[in-house]
Amino acid sequence: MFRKKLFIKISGLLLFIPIWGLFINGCKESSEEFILGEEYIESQTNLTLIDTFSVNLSTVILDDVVTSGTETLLIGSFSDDILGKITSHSYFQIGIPDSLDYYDTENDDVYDSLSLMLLYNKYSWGDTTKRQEISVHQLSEKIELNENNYLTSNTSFNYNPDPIGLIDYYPQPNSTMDTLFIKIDDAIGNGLFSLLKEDSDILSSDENFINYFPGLVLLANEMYKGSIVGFNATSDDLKLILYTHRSVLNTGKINYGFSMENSEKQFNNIIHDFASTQLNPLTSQRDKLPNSQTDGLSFLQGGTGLVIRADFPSLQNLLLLDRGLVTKAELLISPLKNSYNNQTLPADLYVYESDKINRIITTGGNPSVRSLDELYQENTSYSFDITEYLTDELSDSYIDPEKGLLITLSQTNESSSFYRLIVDASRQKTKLKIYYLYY
Amino acid sequence: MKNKNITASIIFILPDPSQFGKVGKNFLITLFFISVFTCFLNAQVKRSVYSMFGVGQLTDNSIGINKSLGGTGIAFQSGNSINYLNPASYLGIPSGSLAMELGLYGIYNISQKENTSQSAGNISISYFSASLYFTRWWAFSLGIIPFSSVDYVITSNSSINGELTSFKKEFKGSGGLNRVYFGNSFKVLDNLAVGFNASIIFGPITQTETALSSDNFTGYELKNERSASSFYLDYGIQYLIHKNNWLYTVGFVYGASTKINTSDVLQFTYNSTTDSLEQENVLDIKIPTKLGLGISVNKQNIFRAGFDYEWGGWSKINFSNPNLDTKNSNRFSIGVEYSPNINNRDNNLLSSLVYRFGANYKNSYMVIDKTPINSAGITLGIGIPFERFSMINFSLEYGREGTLNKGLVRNDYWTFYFNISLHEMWLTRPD
Repeated sequence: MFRKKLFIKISGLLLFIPIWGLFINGCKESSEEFILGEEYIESQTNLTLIDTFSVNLSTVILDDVVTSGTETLLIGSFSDDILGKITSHSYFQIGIPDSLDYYDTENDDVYDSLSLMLLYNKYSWGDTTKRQEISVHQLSEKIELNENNYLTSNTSFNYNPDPIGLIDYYPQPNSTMDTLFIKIDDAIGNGLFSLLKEDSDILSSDENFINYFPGLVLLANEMYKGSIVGFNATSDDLKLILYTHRSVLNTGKINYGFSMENSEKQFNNIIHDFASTQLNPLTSQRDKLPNSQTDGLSFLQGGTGLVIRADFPSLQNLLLLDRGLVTKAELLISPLKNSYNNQTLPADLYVYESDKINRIITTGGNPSVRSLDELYQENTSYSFDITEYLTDELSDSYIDPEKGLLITLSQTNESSSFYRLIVDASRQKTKLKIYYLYY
Repeated sequence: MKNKNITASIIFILPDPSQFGKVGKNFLITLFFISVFTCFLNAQVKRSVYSMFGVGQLTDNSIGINKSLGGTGIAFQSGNSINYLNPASYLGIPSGSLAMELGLYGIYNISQKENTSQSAGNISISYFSASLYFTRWWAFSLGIIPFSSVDYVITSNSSINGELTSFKKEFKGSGGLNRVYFGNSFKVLDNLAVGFNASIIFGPITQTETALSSDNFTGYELKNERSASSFYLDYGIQYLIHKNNWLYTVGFVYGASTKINTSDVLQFTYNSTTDSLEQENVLDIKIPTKLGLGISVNKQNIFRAGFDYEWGGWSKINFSNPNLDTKNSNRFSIGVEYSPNINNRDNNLLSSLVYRFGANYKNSYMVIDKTPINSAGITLGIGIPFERFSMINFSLEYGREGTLNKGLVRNDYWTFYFNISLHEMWLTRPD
């Protein structure tokens, strides 16, 4: 009987010991990192950095740079040896004053003056110590959006060649005096004032007013090559101000603001002239100017639509590698030393897939990571993670040699700035880094 | 008589408790343990880096009380315990009995290398074995015992080729091969027994290589699931000489070199996508030729001692691993058992104890960096008899494997074995 009990006890023990064993095993697993035996392990995986695939860079110019709806008015002209001359004019519509409901003009109200008020947005490109001349013209046709509902930098509309306002001034984009007033012809001022006095139907809606007064264009005088200056293109900051006074009252100044109307129809007409530069051959987006023809340099600039194309002519060789996969692909480009200062170097760039004729064929661009060597400009570079692009290309075991990548500014900078980047392919930093995992 | 034998062999396929009473019941209980714990078999080696090669680190054949005798047993008879080391020995179990054994083991291993040391422990089921005495001239045994085991975790610093960055890789191995054997002993002459074990060796081995995500890649896993199988035969002879009260035995065992068939399922997982790959490094491995010789002396089961020598023809086996060379292996062992009151047992537990001692030295088949990974161990054990032939056995082994020379890894291990052997008389009138 005693032995029978013993047997049962032992059986119970047999049941529990393995469970206990599992438990103490579990405790052991996590606590230590086992490093012994490292040297006998035959690893079957191997991660290798391959940076020998060549990167061909070229300069491409976009046909269309969208400049409408940016709330930025760019005006001025700039010129240098590298990218030639750039001039920006700006178009916008004017609407009826908001204050019409509060004031009724009276017969003895007196017209004083009409001015265009502009507010600096603190952006400028070029040498703002040089004089600029802006002329204000009345449009002779209405601003109409194109079929894609935007307006591009190469768009222009007809205007009356006789200016209604003209200013010759030194831009002060960073001064505390942040507004610029341009005196407008009194003929226009009186015209608007009589509309007010008549309580004209023209002022009953923006639409009616625009039919009568299609808008304004500010033209930069190309003879004054100094800078291009930015102003806010919003209804608050961009307006015609009609100054009047009521003689019966002591403090009888009444001002009417004819504000910019519909920022979607405000745009900048940016004109470049590459004639004196290496970029002269570039006329349409289909053109590709290899950096071999431009001293190893490639150019990118907002406003003008200069972007950089990267091609990887030997990428097919990836398919010849042994079993493995691309874990990461990184494109690095490095700016030409001393071609920039830390403030004017674009903070971020974007990369898009492109076809043979330089069209962007992906919707979302991949942003770059910039590393800035502020002191020596030696190690400044932009890197793009193009892993997905490469993996997609490899997935069908065929690499389309006509596909490439386009590097652009961010959309905001592309349409409302002149940020520039000159990439120097001769620098070691410009390369394609592929991390390939053999297994 | 003949009829009964045939019926008895069927109980292993279709046990019927009502017909066989206690025997069947205990057998069923044991069978239950087996089915539950088969998964705990293997892993005799805990965290040994030497288990990364081939089909893992081979465990020696000794089970049960042979463990406490230093692994000695080529010339021992089976008795209260089953002696698997020589298939000619199964006739030694008590006449007319069915013997069943279940073993457990626990190990605590300390691995060292120069200034580094790591330790790990484990407890698991180690084997199950049963033997049946049929007639005066035939007994058989079957069971499941471990053949090899793989158990390692190695973290390694790996560098990216072409760049000065490194990342961590973890190598893990688990699993191992089991051996299901079916052995027969035949009495050819009064003092000569021959036998063979037919074994199926099978099992899964999983080896993975993983890396956690870093700047330049997402985490990946390369996993190889290797299944191995082999049909293996080994043979044994025991020649007995009775002289005065002493029994002298000479034993001889032989196993032919046999191919282990392996098939690999290699999978690579990256970014949650798993691809099946073709394994290019197919393992071509064999169980080497084995030759063993043993001698033993036995005085009325009160005292017995034995010596074993076993040779393995490993030098012809190529692991196709540049880090591992092979050479022929040698195993020497001695074992002594003292059972002062085996023949006049009373209920006093203490006085009926059986004492065992053993030692072994193994010239391993593994050579790393021109250095053989030899091992040596000493064992102590006691047996506690109960009922008529049943016994509970404990043994403790201290062993050392490898060397600290040449930057190699040395394992110091303490192994604890526990096994229970149950005997039921199924022949009421043994012949």
